Amino acid sequence: MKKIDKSLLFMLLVFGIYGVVGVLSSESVTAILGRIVVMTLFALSFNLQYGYSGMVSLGHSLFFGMGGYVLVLIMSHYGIALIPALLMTLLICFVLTVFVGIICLKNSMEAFTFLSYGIALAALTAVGKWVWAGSTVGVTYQALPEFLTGYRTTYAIIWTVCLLCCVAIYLIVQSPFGMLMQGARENEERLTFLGIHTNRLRLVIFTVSCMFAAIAGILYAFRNAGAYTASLDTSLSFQAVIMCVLGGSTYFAGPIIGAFIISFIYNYISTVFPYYEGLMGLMILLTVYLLQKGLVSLVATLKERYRREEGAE
Amino acid sequence: MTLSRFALTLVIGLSSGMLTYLMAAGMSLIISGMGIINFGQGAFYILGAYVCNQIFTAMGLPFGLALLGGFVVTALLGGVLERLLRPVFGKDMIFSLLITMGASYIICDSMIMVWGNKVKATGLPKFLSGAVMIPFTKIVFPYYYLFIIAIAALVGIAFAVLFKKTMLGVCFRAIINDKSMVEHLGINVDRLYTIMFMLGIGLGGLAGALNAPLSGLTPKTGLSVFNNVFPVLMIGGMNNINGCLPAAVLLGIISSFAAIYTPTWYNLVPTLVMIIVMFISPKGLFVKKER
Repeated sequence: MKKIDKSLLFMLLVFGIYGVVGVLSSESVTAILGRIVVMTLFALSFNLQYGYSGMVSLGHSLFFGMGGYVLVLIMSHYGIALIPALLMTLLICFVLTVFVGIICLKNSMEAFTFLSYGIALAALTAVGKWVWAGSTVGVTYQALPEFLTGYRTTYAIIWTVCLLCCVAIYLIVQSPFGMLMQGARENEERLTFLGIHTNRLRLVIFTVSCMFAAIAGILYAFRNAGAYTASLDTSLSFQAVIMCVLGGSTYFAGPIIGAFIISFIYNYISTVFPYYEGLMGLMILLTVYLLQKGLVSLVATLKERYRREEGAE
Repeated sequence: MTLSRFALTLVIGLSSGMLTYLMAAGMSLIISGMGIINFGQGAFYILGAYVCNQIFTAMGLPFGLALLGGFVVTALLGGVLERLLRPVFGKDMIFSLLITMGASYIICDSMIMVWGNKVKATGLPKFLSGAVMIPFTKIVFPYYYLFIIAIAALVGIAFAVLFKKTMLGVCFRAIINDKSMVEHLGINVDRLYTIMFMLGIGLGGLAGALNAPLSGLTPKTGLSVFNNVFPVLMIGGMNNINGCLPAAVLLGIISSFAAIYTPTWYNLVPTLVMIIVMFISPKGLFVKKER
């Protein structure tokens, strides 16, 4: 139990730092921080699927983009107020997520990876051609009502909602359902013996994880004042994977660290170096070779070494 | 729709289906043999096209050499990539997947570095431009499309012969069925893996080189190509190389007719067909029933 409390504490600490820095700093720093906070939620939601349940989805960007797009589209085209629009967005995203999940889970887990990637790519292509959805330009629309705009207020909203969602994810992981998720990763056969319909379980996990991604997408649309194709791009799915792998997917704190590093690099390097995607590829390779268990595992290794040295004395 | 237009659409669809077949067969070979999903195939496809452009248009060498170059260069790079993949064989699938994807990012950006971000055009070779007309009808077939179909069919036949008749093919089939048994028989599986990977990647490069004269080149096109390939793999069956050909031809023809009726949405049609197929038979249409 001790280790678990530590990871919750770590998360609260990180969010506390983000909050304090956000209050103190200028607009440009807040913009970057907003992205980092949203990405933290995105990475944690992805880790529900990947780290805890062993489902390698490469289409997580689809749900991230979907949240923002659906909200902005129904608000700008039909003029619906914010609160009902939010509820409708969540409902629409839920239906679409379940539909995509059913298709992706029809076949083996290899096919799941493949199909999720393919469907995300097809959705990106479709939006790119769809004039109603803004095609390749995207839709600019200030979703928040006027008294809530202003960068500091927007950041406060993003920060609060992300914190609540991250705590919710933590509670899910700690609950008996979290144990089931790990069971689906470790031993599917055993779960079947226990009378659990694994395919349905996977669908539930997929839906929960993707709904959190949709919430992250909605917040991202608040931050950007609109929905753009960059939020649907499949390279975002790879960012999610690499965030989890870099930080350590078997630890709760892993994706939080990974999200910080990766979004920082993406935000900073893309402004100074045109070949940042190639650099990203290089980083992926290095991570896979050197850090298969992630950064958090380094702490454990160091601690182990320290303890051993102490024992030798 | 007149008869001549119908025939032309059919040939174009067949040729694009054949191109997709080359790529899909390469990917399917790697998936079924090594259990690795090669997400870098799109990058190798574009690399093949660029090599073809470089050899044929920029250096003025014969077109056949350009096609061969497209195959050889990508296959060699594939060999390098296979070396990179060795440390993660048998580990979690995510690692090999990340390596192929990371490599494809690197390849795409190095292509931008070398050839720039402008759209490049490759001319048609002289002996393949023009069209053949069937006498007494108005049916016209452009030579180049026929050439693509012929080359892809040749590769398909060579593939079949390789698999059925040669020792190498026997080993490939054995690896697909039972890898550890092949190892126990004293056959060097690692080397076979290298050959398999090079073949699979080279086929992607060849498809790119064949397609180069038909469309403009930009380094980022590799991703959109995947849109056509993955429905073929799903409909043909993931681990089933023989299913690729019928699935690719079917989807090629369907999408080329769709291009006439809905010019905006045609490259989503394969995905739509695939979704319908997934509901009818999740394992793919062209999979043999297990006995």
